[in-house]
Amino acid sequence: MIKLFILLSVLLFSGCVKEVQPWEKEQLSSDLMKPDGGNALYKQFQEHIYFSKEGSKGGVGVAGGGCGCN
Amino acid sequence: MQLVRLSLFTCTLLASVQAQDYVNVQYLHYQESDDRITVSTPSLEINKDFGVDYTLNFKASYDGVSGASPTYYDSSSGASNPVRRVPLNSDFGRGPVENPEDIVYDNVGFGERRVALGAMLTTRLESRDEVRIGLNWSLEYDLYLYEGSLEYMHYLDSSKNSSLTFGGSYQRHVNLVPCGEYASECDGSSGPSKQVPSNHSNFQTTFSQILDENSLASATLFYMNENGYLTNSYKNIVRNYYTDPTIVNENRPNSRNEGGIVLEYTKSLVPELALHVSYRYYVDDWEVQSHTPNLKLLYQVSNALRLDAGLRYYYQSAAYFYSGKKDAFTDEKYASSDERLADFSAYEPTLGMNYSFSKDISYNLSGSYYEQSTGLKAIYLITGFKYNF
Repeated sequence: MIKLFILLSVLLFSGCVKEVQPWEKEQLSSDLMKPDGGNALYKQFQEHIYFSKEGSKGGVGVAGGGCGCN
Repeated sequence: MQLVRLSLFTCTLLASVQAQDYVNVQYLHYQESDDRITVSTPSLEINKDFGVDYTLNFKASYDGVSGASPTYYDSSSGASNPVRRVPLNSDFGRGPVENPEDIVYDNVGFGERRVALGAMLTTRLESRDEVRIGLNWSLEYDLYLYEGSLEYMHYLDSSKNSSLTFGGSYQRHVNLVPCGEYASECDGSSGPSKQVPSNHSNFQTTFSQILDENSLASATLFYMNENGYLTNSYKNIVRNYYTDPTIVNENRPNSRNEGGIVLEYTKSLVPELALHVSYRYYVDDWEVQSHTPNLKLLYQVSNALRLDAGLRYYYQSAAYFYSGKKDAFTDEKYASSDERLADFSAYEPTLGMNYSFSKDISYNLSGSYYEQSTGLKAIYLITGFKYNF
């Protein structure tokens, strides 16, 4: 898995990457480009539901969450 | 000319930084089919910048949980639909069963409340690298947990087009286990309940790369370790179904190593439409593997209205000690019939909208339908307001 991660990282570094200047980042900084639309609580709710109903988790940050979830 | 552009961008950036001061009030209503679980969760988030170097984020949530959760019990021992009650001093229908046909897998009612608080301080260094320090705390009747986290985001180039983030957290759970003769963690001296801890560590590395003016991608590698009491104290199993049928508390291994990778790609197809694609692969030493592809579209209809639509698919394999059958277990050390450890798939379509009344106030509403191949069906609505100040 570590090899896969390194390979993907190298692929991202090379080839299709373009040098983007700060003044070209307007679209990238819009809420459209955030999966949660800029609403952190929305994502937190969803992750809490998945955490309590499924047998796997992780990959969405190191902070927050956790419950008894009976 | 580039200097003018940079100045304009800097102004825009500062304006957006100021717009990071907000109050976000959200409400979740979650409802499962078959009168299973209902959850109501009002939540509050406050985000405040202190200059351009510090941001403080505070979150508070309250969960009101009611309904029922399925497990095995002896239907001849009393009510056909037993209820877990506090104080937690019941055997939950556990013990020897005279007639095996009286063993049913059905809903057991319960109620729960949870309060959770979290705070995170983000500090930006001279290089604009970020250090994030977080604290979380959560309290339920039968669980108390606290957590500390630390993350460091390092820009890899002067244009800040790529970054590497390292993070770790430690979470301590103190579980209140209801004791009875057939609870795995308790013995004759435990009393009606017993406090047992578990430790949860989480490490994550994310590489993010801006690909061009309209797209970006990231890859995340994560590892988690859990140890201590990981059994669900409310879930029952059946042992010796054919010879001496007895309902007892399930028993899980006291350690779990988990890891995986998350790949994300975001593309602005046209200025008003963005596509988000992600995939997570997960594996652990309980032999659970999962795959989670996720697709989402966000569409800016007008300056005020934004719509979104998403589809999530989930598949997991079963834990090696899981069986949903009554006659599966005899004297195995580890055994569980909790459906969350079964082999199943799930899908979830989501529709949502966000309406901005002004540049400072917006309203959001979304609805999701969640269905598992285990039979679980649920809908949930998320609605709320966000106020920039």
